[in-house]
Amino acid sequence: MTPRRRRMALVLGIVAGVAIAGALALSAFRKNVTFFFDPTQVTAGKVPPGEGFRLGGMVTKGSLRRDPGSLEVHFVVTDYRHDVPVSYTGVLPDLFREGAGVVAHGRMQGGTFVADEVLAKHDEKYMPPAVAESLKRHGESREGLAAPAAAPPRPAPPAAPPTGTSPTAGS
Amino acid sequence: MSRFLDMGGYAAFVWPAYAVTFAIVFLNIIWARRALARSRAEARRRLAMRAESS
Amino acid sequence: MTWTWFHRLGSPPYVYALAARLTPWFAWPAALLIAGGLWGGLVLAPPDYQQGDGFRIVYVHAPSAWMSLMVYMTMAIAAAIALIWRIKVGHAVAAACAPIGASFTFAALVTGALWGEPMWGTYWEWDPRLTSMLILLFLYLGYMGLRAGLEDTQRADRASALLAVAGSVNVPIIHYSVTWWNSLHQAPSVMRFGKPTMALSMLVPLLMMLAGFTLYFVALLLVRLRGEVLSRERAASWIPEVLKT
Repeated sequence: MTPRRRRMALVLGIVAGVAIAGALALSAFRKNVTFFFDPTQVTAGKVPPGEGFRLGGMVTKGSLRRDPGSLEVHFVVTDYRHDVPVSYTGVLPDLFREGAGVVAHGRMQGGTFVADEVLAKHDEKYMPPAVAESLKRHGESREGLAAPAAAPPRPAPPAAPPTGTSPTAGS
Repeated sequence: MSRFLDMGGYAAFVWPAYAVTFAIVFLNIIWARRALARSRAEARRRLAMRAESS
Repeated sequence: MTWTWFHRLGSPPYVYALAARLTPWFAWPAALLIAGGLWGGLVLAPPDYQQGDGFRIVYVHAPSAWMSLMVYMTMAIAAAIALIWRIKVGHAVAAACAPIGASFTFAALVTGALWGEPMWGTYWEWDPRLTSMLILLFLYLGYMGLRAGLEDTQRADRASALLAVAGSVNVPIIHYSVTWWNSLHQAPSVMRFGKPTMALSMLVPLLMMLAGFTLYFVALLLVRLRGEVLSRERAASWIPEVLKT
C-alpha cells in the first residue's frame, strides 16, 4: 500500500471508528438519551420508574380545561394511538394550542401525568395566515394545523390570570 | 414603522438575535482582515531582519 | 484528465494571488444577497400563522446554523486532504475555518435560544439538536485549542486535523437528530427531501440569506487563507514581491 493510501485508510478508519463508537454509545444509552416518551411508551410502562421524565405528543382537541379561579389546567396528550391525561399548574407558553405539539416534564401520579414544565413544540411549517385559513377550510389531515394565534404574544409571563388560549372560530 | 420595530410583540427576541448575528458577521470580517494585516507585517519584519543580517 | 489545477492549488504564491483576485467576486454578491434577503425577510414576507413576526428570527438563525455545519465540513475536508495528500494549504484552510465556524455556531445557539423562549417556552433544553450543536462548538474550540497549545506546527496540524476529521461524524448527527430521535426542535423545513415546508414568500428571502452567507464565507476564507499562507512560508522568495501590493 502506498503511503498515501495508508493515510487515506487512517482518515477513513477514524471517521468510521468514531461513527461506530458513537452509534454504539447512543444505542446503549437509548433510555437516557431519549428526550421525551410518547403516550404509547408511557402507557406500555416503558418509562424508567422513579424520576421525572418528559412526555411528548399532541394536545387532543377539546381536551383543555381550566379550573376556574386557579392556574391549574388539564389536557390530554395523544400520539393518536394512546392518550395520557396531564395536569399542570402554571402559565402555558404562547404557542400552546389544542391540536399542536407539546413536550411536558413531570411524573405520573396515578393515571395522570403531573407536569412541572410545559413546552410548546411547533412543526416545521411556515405560512401566512391567509394560506393557513384556506388550508383549514379545505380540510386538513388530523395532524394538520394548530389554531392560529388567539392572544397577542408577550415576552414575560403575566402576573394576571392567563387569557384564553382555547381555539377561536371552532377550527 | 413602530409596528415594524415592535415585530408583533416579539421585538425583545427578534432584534437582539439580529444584533448578535450581525455583530458576529462584522467581527469575522474584522478578524480576517486583522489576521492578514498581522501576517503581512510579520512577513515584512522577517524580510527586514534577513536583509539586515545578510 | 489533468490534475494540474488541483496541484497548483498546493503552490502558495499561486493561492495567495488567486485569493486576492477572487475576494471581491464573492464579497460584493454576498452583501447584495444578504441585503436583499433582509429586506425580503423583515419587510416583504408576511407574518407566520403560528409564530407571527417572531418567525423572522429564521433569517439569522438558519443561516448561522447553516454556516456552522458548512464551515465544519469544509474544515474537515480540508484537514482530510491535508492529511492524505500532504498538501499544506489544506491545514491553512482548516485553520482559517475554525474561528468562523465557532462564532457562527455560537450565533446559532444564541439566536436559537432567543427564538425558543417565546415559542417553546424555554431558552435551552438538552434535546438532541441543541446538544449536538453544543458539541459542535466544543469541537471547534478543541480544534483551535490544539492548534494554539501545540508548539510544533507539524504536530499542531496533524492533531487538530485528526480531531476535525473525527468530529465530522457529528454533522450528519446534528442534521438528522430531529428525525432520528424525539426532540423539541422541529424537523427541517428546507434541507429535506421533498418540497420545503415554507411558503414561497417566506422561503425566497431565506434562500437569499443562505446563498449570501455562503458567498460571505468564501470571501472570509480567501482573506484568512492569504494570511495563513504568508505565515507558513517563512523565507520564501515570492514574498517580497507580494508585500509590495
